[in-house]
Amino acid sequence: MGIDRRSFIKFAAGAGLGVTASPLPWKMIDDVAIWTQNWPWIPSNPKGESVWAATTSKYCPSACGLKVRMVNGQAVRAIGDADHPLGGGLSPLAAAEIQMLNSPARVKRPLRRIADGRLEPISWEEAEKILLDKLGAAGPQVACVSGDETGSSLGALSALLAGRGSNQLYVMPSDAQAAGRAWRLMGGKGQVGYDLEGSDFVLAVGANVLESWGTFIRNRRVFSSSRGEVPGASFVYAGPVQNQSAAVADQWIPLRPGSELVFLLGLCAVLAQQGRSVEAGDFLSFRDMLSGYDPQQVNALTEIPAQVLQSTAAALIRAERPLILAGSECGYGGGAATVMAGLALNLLLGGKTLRDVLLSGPVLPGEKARPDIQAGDLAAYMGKGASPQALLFYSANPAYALPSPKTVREFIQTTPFKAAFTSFLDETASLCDLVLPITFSLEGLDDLESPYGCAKPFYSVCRKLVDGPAEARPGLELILDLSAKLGKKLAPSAQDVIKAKAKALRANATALNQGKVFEGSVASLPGRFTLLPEIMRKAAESVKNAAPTLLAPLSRTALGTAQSGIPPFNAKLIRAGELEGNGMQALLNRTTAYSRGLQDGDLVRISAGQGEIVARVRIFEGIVPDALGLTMGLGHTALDAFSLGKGANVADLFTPAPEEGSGLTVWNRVGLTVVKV
Amino acid sequence: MVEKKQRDAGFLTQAAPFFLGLAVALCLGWWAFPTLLFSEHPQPVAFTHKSHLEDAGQDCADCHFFREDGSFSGLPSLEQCAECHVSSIGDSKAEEDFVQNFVEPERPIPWRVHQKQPDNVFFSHAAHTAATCSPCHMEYDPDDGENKPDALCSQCHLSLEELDKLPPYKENRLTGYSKTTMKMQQCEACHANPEHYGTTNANNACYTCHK
Repeated sequence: MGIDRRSFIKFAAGAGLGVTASPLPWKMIDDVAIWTQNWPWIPSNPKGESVWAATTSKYCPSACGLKVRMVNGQAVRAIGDADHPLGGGLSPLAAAEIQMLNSPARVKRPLRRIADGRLEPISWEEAEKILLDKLGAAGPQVACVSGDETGSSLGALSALLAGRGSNQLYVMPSDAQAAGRAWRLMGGKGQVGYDLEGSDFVLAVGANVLESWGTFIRNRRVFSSSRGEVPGASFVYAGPVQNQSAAVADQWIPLRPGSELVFLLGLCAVLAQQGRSVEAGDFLSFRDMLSGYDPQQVNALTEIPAQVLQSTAAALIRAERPLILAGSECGYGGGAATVMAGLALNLLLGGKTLRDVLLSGPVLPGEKARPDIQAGDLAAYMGKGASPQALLFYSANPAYALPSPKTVREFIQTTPFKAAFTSFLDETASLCDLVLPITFSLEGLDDLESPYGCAKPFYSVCRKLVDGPAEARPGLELILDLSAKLGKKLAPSAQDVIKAKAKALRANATALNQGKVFEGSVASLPGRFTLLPEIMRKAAESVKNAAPTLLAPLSRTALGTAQSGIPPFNAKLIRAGELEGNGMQALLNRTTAYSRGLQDGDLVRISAGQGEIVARVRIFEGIVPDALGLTMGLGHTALDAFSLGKGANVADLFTPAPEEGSGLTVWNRVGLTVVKV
Repeated sequence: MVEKKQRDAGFLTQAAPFFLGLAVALCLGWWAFPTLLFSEHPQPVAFTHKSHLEDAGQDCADCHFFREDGSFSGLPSLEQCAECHVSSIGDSKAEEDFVQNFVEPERPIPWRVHQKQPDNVFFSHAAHTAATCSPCHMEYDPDDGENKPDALCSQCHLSLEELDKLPPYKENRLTGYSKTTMKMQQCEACHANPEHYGTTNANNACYTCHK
């Protein structure tokens, strides 16, 4: 029997019927459907017993308390620690902390820049040799910038530089720095602290107290408890944008950007008129200065209605334990004068909720105290044409976050040798000749002392809970090792530094190493203060010369830090009013937009100083007239796909200028030019 | 008659290719395909439940228990095994291999779990305990109708307690999952069963199992 066409068709028909009547096609369809759901690149939870480890977040600037769920030695999840003095919730950064251990932007091995401009991996031995040679050659001409102002690494860096004969250690600018300068000038000994828990009326001026200012997770916990069945403290926010704090506060007082100082002086003036005083040698001069800031004059300067000023002052007087928190919306660049005016107002009200938080002080040979390091002005240093031979960056990203990033980038590029100690390949690390991987939060022994805003001395040891990249080294250990190799032995190990610090604070090192935190007792406030009215007066003068359109930066904790960029976890938290596609959105209220011939959806070019941003206009009535709101945390030019190419960097528009009086570099009254494209 | 026989013979001859194709396809679909689809793998340790239950006097819950936090210890950890087998306590080759390959180098045992669910399925033993399911399901036993304590477990898991040798793990070459993993329709036998409404919390919403 031959196989002809007819036979083949019959065979095929039989086979077709047979296959259809078998499980083959149906099972295949099912299995293919299951196969398409196999996504091996997505990590899955390890199975095993859950063990919870308590620690304090080094990633989140609020230093919130964490409980990390560990399974088989792997960190799986972090939740807020309700028993932690600075905890009670979980910030979007702390929630992403474990995910960031595996960030695509992690630096996993030492990198060296080669002739064609690329960074190539090298061994630690090679990296150390280069670093030691360059530091040896630079002698005292070495400067360092630290992005960690609460860890022992800061003191260790100051001791390392002291060993080289340099005192050029700077921290990234922050509200803590401005407040530190203000507190020291006024007579405080340690760091100014705020007793939120004990307050019945909180007035936040400029400080985005529930989003990004100070210990904001603790602030949220206090706010949350005040909303219980028994009414607690009232919260009032004064600032240019209806931000997260304004949205939930009992009252939002709209202020033009940069007019916080005048508003505070206006409140001081009302209280002084009612006979309130402060134990200060220069109180009379202060009171005389306030005569220029009565409600009518404040109204003329800032358009704040006199009635608002009067009613706010009355509410402060009615409160038994009022607290005024003065700061900047974007967390830095607000200046010392505004904080000084806020502190003066607190003192006029009795200062019951102000605290002098004493710090541990130096524990290493040659170490500088934290307030002394904070006294340095990084923006001024990089802007005035200093010329170090070697520049070190420790977990700091000034090339992204400092004002006028173009100038900063030029400064870094023209420095003969620059090295970054970093966990992420950020904008600054990308400009360096040498990039050294250090462990990230949870991966190595670290510590955290008294973050800005806390009411009592605080100390926590951040234990090593998980293994980091094989070649990443704990930052503090690395600094100690480098210093020893440069000829100055600081301490045998990081654990010894922590023990010394615990001893200085009279804390139990064993308990700290087990995850417990230390809270010290409160020192009494200085008996006499100095108010320095001339500093405030000079700084307030600049309000008179405000530009027609002012920048109102909007801080968003969820969008990461300058150094880490946007955590992948949090990219979904970017709102429609902040980005459209990858395009930046500019918030203006209807009056401001129409007066400049703009409509919703118009593309505008926004410029200030050296910087320029293109954004699309979005009409938003939650912003004061003559202000333009831009979201911070966007516009990265390094890091990973989750940060790159999204919007623009608001720091491009920051125009630094010395604050009249204090001399601190500020960028709190940025005048903008807005042109329709 | 001859003509009819010739006609029948002609029909069979003409239909032969059709039936041949049908037979080949049925063999392929019902025998060859299921055989080829799954690869067989032995467990990494020649473990015997029977010996541990009968000779060592252990109970199921000694290894398969709920932790204090409500999570379920599906498989014992190496530390638990090493509580007895820190060194060989018998003379079997299997135990010697186990101690040498896993206990001494402290290498976790890569058990092949027959009922392992895909990552997109969230299954909690805590929600499927005797307290929630057994009031009804303890009465059910597919074999002898007896009220056996493991009746609920063995509705999803293979009954291994009387086996001296672990059955091979059959892995689907396409999906990578076990042949005996529960499929969604088996979950829905309870979750979508109207008789369960109001009796248990067996919600059938997507988010109940797919987080």
